Amino acid sequence: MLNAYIAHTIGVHTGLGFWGLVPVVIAVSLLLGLLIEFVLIRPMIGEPTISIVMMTVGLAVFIRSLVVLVWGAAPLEFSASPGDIVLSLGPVRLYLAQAIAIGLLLAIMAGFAVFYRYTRSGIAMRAAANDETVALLMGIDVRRIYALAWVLAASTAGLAGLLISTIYELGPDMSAFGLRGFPATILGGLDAVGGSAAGGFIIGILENLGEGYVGRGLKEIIGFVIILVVLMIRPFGLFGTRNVERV
Amino acid sequence: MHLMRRVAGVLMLGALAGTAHAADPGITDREIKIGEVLPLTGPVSFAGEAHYLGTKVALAEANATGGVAGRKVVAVTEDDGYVPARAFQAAQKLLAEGVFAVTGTSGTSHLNAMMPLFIEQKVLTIVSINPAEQAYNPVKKNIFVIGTDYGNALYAVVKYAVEKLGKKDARFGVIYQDDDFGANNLLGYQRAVKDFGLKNVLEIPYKRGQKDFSAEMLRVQNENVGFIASGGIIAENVAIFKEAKKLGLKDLRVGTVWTAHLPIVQQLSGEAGDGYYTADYMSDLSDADAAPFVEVAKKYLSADEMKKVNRYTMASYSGASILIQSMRACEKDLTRDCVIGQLESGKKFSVNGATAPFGFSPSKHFSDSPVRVLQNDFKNARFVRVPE
Repeated sequence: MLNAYIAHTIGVHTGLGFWGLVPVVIAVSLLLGLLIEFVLIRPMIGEPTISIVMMTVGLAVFIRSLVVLVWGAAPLEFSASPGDIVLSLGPVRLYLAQAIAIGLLLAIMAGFAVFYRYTRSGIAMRAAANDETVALLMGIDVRRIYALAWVLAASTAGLAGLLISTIYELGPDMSAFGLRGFPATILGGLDAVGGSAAGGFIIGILENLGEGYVGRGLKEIIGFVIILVVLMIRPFGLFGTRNVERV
Repeated sequence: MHLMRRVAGVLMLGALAGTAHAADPGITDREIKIGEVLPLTGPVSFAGEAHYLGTKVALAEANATGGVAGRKVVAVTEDDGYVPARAFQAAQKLLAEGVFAVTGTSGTSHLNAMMPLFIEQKVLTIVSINPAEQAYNPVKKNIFVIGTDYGNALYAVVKYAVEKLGKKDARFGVIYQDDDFGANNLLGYQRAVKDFGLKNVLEIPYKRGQKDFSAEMLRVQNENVGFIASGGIIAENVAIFKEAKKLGLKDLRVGTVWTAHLPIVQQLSGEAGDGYYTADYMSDLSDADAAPFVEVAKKYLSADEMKKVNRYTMASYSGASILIQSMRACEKDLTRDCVIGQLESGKKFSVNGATAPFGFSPSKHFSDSPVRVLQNDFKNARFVRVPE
């Protein structure tokens, strides 16, 4: 959200269009991700996970309030939107911004798949996520991996913020979209690159089918109902890896 | 024992003297304090900020001409962030500080949370930001409501669709927020359906803050709805217009509650919102009727503040203005009872054209102002009053 607001301000003052703002958002997100990691996350390494989670929840509240303080609470028009062109793909009709979101999703997914499978940093990141202590013993610089993880996460979130603000509008309540991403990730599997994307599609379709055929607010709860069911049946998600422990 | 009787006697005399000279809260020799609880932050801060400016204009205008009974009128404004629980806390704070009247009452749910306090403590309350039915039906001695019900706005746009757009035989639907605000919208829509004998095929509730209306609009498409009454405010209306455009629903007409003074709806919806209908009881800023109000506002507000002026500014100006007019009529007996008597005397209050002159009576504390239908003219960035 913060990245989208910064992009909006840059767009207003420089006249940059949507595609011009994409690298700007990535760069700004990258810097913000590094800053957050260095100032807030690094000192928390080794602390209980719940402490880190609570700190990030607090950070989210702080960022939301900061946005209201600087840009105001009213929604803003995102002038650098790709336009209101409607694309027809058979019976499916999409705005150009929605098609771009799907295209970028596929590109990012492919990029992450290659990164995790074929690069040293990607493999090191998987190792650190699997067991931080063993990764340290194997000579992996876990602090650098943490920083890299934050940079990648912040850049992806920045792009998501830019896309959401072009599809809907720019407003402080867009932070709620982050919460809606959780069910998608849990459904897909926390360690599956394409799992979150597939989970997102499944939940999106179920939400709309639920609202369309049943209605009465089912759309709002269906994602969390799925989390409950998945956690009971397949806690590692549809595409996640089962965690087998030797005893 | 004798001493105790003397002490009790002195205390009783003191209490009686206090009663005899007690003024209503919020009044001193120098000033009269009024209170406001407004959503200055949160999703509808545009309304809260605009409302604050209207009160500012009314008070500045009054104080420039001598105030009330030689006293300056000041406002204490509390932000509730559009959260009902915070509205209640803010009302408690205002009443503890002591205010003569309350002229800002935030949203419908917020007003419902505060109203028992206002009734219990007999606080003169003028509701101008959200003319919710609960505030005037049944009549509360100390509460007055300016405007018309949200439901009347939807009733007016549906009536216009039937009488002027030839939609009598069309299929109708409503999308409404699942709270008190939405309930008012739904009541107005259902009344129109009953009065005009319409074919009502869809009633879809949504949660406050919802962004995506694709499923709802697919239902509109599948049901072949010809006119949808939208109970949204900003993002919801924008999403509904955009989905209609995406689905190619060219024959669908949409009517909303008052949004004509929210340029952001026009900007965000773009061409997708062109031609939608809305209804309002406040004048449009470009109306000749509203020229006196605009002139006064320009006198007391900065250029930046003028950019935030909208219908809520005119609504709060109307509320504060009638309060001041009534207080001035009670200069010799400046009590809430006297001011209430003035308000419900039946006389018509004029508010510089912000809305049509209106009045109240002992049995009707609701101005029930006439509603006019407007149409969005996106290309010229304005709303045009439709022929009546």
